[in-house]
Amino acid sequence: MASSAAFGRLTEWAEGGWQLIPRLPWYRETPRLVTPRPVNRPLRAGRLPALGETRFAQQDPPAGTSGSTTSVFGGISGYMDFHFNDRQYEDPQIDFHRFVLLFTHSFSDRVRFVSELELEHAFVEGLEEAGELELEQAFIDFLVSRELNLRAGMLLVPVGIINERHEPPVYHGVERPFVDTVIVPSTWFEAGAGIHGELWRGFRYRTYVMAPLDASGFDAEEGLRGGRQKGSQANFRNVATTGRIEYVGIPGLWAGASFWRAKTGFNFPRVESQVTLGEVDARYRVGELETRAQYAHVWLDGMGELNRTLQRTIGVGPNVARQIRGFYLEASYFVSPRPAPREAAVFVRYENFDTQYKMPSGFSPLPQFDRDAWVFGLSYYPDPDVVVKVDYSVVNSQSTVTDEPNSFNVGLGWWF
Amino acid sequence: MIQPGSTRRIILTLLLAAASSSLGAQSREVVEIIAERFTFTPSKIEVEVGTMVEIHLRSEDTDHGFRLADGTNVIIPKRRHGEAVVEFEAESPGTYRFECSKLCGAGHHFMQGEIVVTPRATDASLVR
Ligand SMILES: [Cu+2]
Repeated sequence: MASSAAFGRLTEWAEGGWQLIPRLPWYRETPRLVTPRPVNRPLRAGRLPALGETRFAQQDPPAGTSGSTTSVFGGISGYMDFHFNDRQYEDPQIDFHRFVLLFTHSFSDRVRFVSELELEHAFVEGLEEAGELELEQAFIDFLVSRELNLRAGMLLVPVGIINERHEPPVYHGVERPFVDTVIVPSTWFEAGAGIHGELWRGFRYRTYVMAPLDASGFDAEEGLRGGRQKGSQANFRNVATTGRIEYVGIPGLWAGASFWRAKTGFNFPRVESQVTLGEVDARYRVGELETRAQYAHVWLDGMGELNRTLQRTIGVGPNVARQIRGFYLEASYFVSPRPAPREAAVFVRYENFDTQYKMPSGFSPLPQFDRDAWVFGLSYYPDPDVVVKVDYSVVNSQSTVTDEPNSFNVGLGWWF
Repeated sequence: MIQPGSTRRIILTLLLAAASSSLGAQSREVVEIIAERFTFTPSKIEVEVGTMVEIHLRSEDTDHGFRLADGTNVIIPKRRHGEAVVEFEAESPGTYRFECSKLCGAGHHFMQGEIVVTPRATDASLVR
């Protein structure tokens, strides 16, 4: 296994800089690790013994592909999400919510491609809300060093817990949190380019320039959500800047802070509209308990003028707020912390989200959009990659006139 | 989270490592890395040249991979389904990158880390 060619590659990695740094004489001494010996050990005696070894054999690079410039197709993965939603005052619905395929390909050790293609609601019809075929990610990474890597293509906006980490087995509840739907409009993706890396132990960053949101899609109920251009012939007159730093240096702790900022009024020549989003989040796991917290706040400038312009031109003012904000707290606990198929967790989440938090002068907030929710339920894992979810969601608003529907939800999600 | 059995084994290994180093034999380092979408924790390991390194890899969710740049590649089994162990001698100083080799989701490329093999302290002082 330990051929000299392999060690030659190690030298390249060790010198870093994508061979931009000239080969210096003292690097002739080839650094090497001596033939690593891998073993997969089953957790308990009595499990199928060959599982680890078989998978290891499958992952071994084929003979002759050890050179760093060989293209390797990384295979297809994906996830699916199948839902039953019974909302108060409505007929129950069954929905194949997400069918997502991920592809990866390595052109070389340093130039790689990842993409995520998503079919939402199982069916696509032009100009209808029935379903969507979305290219959520498709980018090339140029891996330069641990500290600095370049990325360009269709990118996920690096904001919040869910937007970049949304495979069904990794979050509780059939639907994503409300805050990650109406405050952070996940799945939020746009065309762009940027850099990412790990600066020092456990501190990671990523920062991109991307296509901005389109203010003409903002509304009172779902905030920024309708403004996503989704990388589809996106207007790029204004550039959004976004970034995230996170600390992942302690086992069980993830803490992050994100921002997003752009001018968003390109469809209204006389409206100065700028959106700034700030967000902090953390996940902490100790034993079988996991807690999550997230807070997101959005400042929208120029919404008074935008509301008036739309009122004049189309006759309906969207009543977009000057500030929107939301937060949630979640605790989950593995009540059956045994290897699948006997693994199950319970969770409870409190969410508070207001898309009419502060209004431009001359506009009043609509109290039905100042909402909170309790969501509780169970996640059962017949396999760590397959989850059956059951939850009940109680939603309330400040309105004395309208009543937010509660819902009973069942979901089946899997990753492969 | 750590199974009682594996804790005992790691303690035993550490004791053996302590005993062997006190006898002047090759030192041994046992490191536990947890893989989870989309991090390795810890993601940076520093060892002195000549150390026998034993890395125990465990996943908190799906299968991940652990690939060293020389082609070593193991699958880290899913949550609660065991661990992968990679053992090697850190023979020469240098920086060795490792990464997740099994597509595990949107942030798969964020799963990177490095093993830094430093010269022995005594060697370094001789150079100066
Ligand atoms: Cu991974």
